[in-house]
Amino acid sequence: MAKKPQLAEKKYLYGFHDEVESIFTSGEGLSPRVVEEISAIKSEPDWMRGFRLKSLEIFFKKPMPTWGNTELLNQIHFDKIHYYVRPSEKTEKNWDDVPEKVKQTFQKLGIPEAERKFLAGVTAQYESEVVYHSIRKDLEKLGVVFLSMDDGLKQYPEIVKKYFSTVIPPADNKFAALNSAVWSGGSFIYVPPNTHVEIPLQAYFRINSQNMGQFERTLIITDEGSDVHYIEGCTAPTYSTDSLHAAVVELVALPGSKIRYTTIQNWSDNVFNLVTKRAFAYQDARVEWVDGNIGSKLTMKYPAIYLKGKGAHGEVLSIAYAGRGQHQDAGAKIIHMAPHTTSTILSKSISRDGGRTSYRGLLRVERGATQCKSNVRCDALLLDEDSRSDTYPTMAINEKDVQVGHEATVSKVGEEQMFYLMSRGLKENEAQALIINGFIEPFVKELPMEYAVELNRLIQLEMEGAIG
Amino acid sequence: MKILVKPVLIKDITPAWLKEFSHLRNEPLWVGSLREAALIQYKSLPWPDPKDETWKRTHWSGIPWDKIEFSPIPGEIHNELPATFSGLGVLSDNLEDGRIPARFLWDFNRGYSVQLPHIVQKKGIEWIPFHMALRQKEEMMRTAWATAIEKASQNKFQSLLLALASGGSCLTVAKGAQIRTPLHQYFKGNKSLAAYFVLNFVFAEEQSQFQIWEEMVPEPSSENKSPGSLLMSQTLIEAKEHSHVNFYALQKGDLNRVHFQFQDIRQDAQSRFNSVTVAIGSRIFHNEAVLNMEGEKAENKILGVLFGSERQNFENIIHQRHLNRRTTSDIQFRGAQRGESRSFFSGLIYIAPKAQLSDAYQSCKTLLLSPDAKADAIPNLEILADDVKCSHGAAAGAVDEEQKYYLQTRGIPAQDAEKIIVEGFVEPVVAAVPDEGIQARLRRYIEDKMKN
Repeated sequence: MAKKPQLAEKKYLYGFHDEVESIFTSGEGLSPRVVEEISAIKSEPDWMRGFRLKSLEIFFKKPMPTWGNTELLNQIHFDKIHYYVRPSEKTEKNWDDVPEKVKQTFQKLGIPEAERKFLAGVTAQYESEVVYHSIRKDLEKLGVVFLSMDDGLKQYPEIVKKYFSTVIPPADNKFAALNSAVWSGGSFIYVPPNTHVEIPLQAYFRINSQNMGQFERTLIITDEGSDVHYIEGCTAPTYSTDSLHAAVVELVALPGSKIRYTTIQNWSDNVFNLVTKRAFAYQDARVEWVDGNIGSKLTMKYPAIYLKGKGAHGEVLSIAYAGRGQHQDAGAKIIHMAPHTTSTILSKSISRDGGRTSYRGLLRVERGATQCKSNVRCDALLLDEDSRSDTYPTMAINEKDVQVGHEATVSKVGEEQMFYLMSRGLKENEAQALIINGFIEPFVKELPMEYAVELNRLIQLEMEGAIG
Repeated sequence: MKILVKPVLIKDITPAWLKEFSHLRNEPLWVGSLREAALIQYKSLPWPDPKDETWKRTHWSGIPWDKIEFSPIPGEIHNELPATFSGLGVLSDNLEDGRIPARFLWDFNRGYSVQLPHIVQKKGIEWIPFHMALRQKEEMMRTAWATAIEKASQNKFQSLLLALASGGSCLTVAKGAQIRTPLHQYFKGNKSLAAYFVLNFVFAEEQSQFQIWEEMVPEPSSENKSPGSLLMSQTLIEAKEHSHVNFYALQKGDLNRVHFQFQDIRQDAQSRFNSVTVAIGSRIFHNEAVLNMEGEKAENKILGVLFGSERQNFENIIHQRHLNRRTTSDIQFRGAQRGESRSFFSGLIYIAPKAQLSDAYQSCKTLLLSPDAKADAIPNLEILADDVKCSHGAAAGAVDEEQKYYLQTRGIPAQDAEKIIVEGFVEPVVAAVPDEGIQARLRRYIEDKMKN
């Protein structure tokens, strides 16, 4: 290492918070009473209330994970968290009807603007509830359903009951149990057979209060031969106390359909981001997780794809950036359960300023999943000597007639590359930014243009002042 | 030295019994205390959790723990031993070129026999059973044993082994000694429900250079009836500055044997450690190796091949610990599996913050030859230094149909084609053994195994 990089304060653009009076809060801590209250406010059917209470029992019973960054995990004070905060009376379809203060927040984040430009539909969630929601009329006419999860439960109870928690049962893990007990908000999407939603649907998640817990629940079902692209973005104010985000996302891709789910996670670095995401892909279906993790204090997230039907295809493309005080523990899980299924995982990570990135993955081929192919690749870039990178890949192959490969590399920015660029007149930080842009290129090119620009800008901001 | 203690089940061993055992073996007092400490550690550690990555794939159900009897390995010379080994494919009394091999024979039920040619001794080699070294090299042995117990503080079975070790040798190679003749060590012995505990020490002084050939031989009379014996073995290797240790092992134990093997290697500056392990035998073979590269520019290369058939279960857990600058490590494992055999490879490359400019590689490739064979691989990395080169790869799959087809179009029957492909697949590892005689033996064993 030529010289120690000068550390500059990281700039987090979305760290402001707004004085928004919530109309209801469950207060600190968790009990069956809190769960009953949430269910009552939402006037839910009995089965959902029962489901929540049962999940709460599971949450209390399950121990904290004993793997991963247990030191950070054990800093979560479950009794200090506000599990339910309601910012407004109902979900608005018209932007002008959203409470003024909340509207200002989202305007500062550029949400309505983004919608006008290139989105087919938008959901904006503030604390526990979806405050704004819209979908293009033409899609609505085609029968595409894009609602908040709560409205989905009210308007399409049969579909919700059929699929809800079938992909991720409450007992899956402690945080999935917690979400199942106190979930609120999130998106519900149903795309009818042979319908193509050409422009992405977007959800935007914002935490504003301190000690807040956000537990959105998303369920996406693409019926036979249809396709959809869903994008979510997340930000939060910077507080000295920690917030918890524990979402559950379930995807069901019926035969021949396609789902792409893109996340640009940019929580402030006082947020614990512990998310369970899983997809079922049936015959000839295709599921893609495009997962960008830039913010949060600790992220533990391993998007999973169960390739259940013949010829199904799964892809996970992820990028993680960990700066000072951050641990991005991300990865992917793919289970081949049927013949002729294929999958690829590409993971890129960058650690800087003492940050830590971990890739944790599972690739399993079940007995009978003959002729399947999978390739896993993890690349890590370490920018200074205080940072750390881990790779924990697991491969479990229970079938002979398969082709499975895994590769990983860990490296630092090449001095030769730096020298070359600097000899062409680039400053050190510019040269480094350029190399990093090249490193994350395979990921960025999968994003819609506006997002790609945004992501490059975010990474550059994070990098700013990195090298003096 | 007769063993005068009564047979005892592993589960019934108490500190008082162990003290008596140590006394009857005429060991120095400190040995008894270390054994006792290790036994207490063993008893206080819980059984591996069902989620414990290191053990969760092991077929525990077939091991009747409550019925296993401790079988101390006699610490006495047995003159007829060489005769019982002849015909088992081990080196004959004289090598083809007229040289006398250096060899150590162990029969777990009878004792040992050692043959060390004068010419080798003159170069500065001492090779004695470890129980003799306890008195002759007291200080060294005491430190090594005590350190091993400390390191095993989270390892239940290693703790048990360090409490009950009775067979095994202590090899010391003097400073600057360079020995071309391979040092052969053979082990056999397999009594139903017996538990054997073997502990080997290797001290490579500065600039020494030598090669060890270790082989686990099956008993000719063994009918491989279940239950067989339990064997736990541990080898502690200290490689001083600039030393160069080559370690080759063939594990061809009886097919009803359960074998847990532990290796602990400590490397000083600029030392080199190369090992090649070929695993064919045993019902369960669980191998854990930890390599501590403590000195600058220490280097190692760990190659392995395994052949699984029937219900064999192979587990390799290799930890590379880069603790100093410019250290280099390389792990390459290859496996071919038939029947319902299972394999598990877990590698961990750890690069400490100060180990800048280190270079690490690990790869694990498996050929699955039957639909019921299973292979799991976890090649982990934990990198805490930025200026390093580190990569890994893992792959699993069936024999390439195109290659097979190509060979068949040349008139080679399908079965032979598969054999040729498998042999080609493991050849890079076999070729890494420098001794041609040993290479030939390995190829023959691999061919035998492929025939079944």
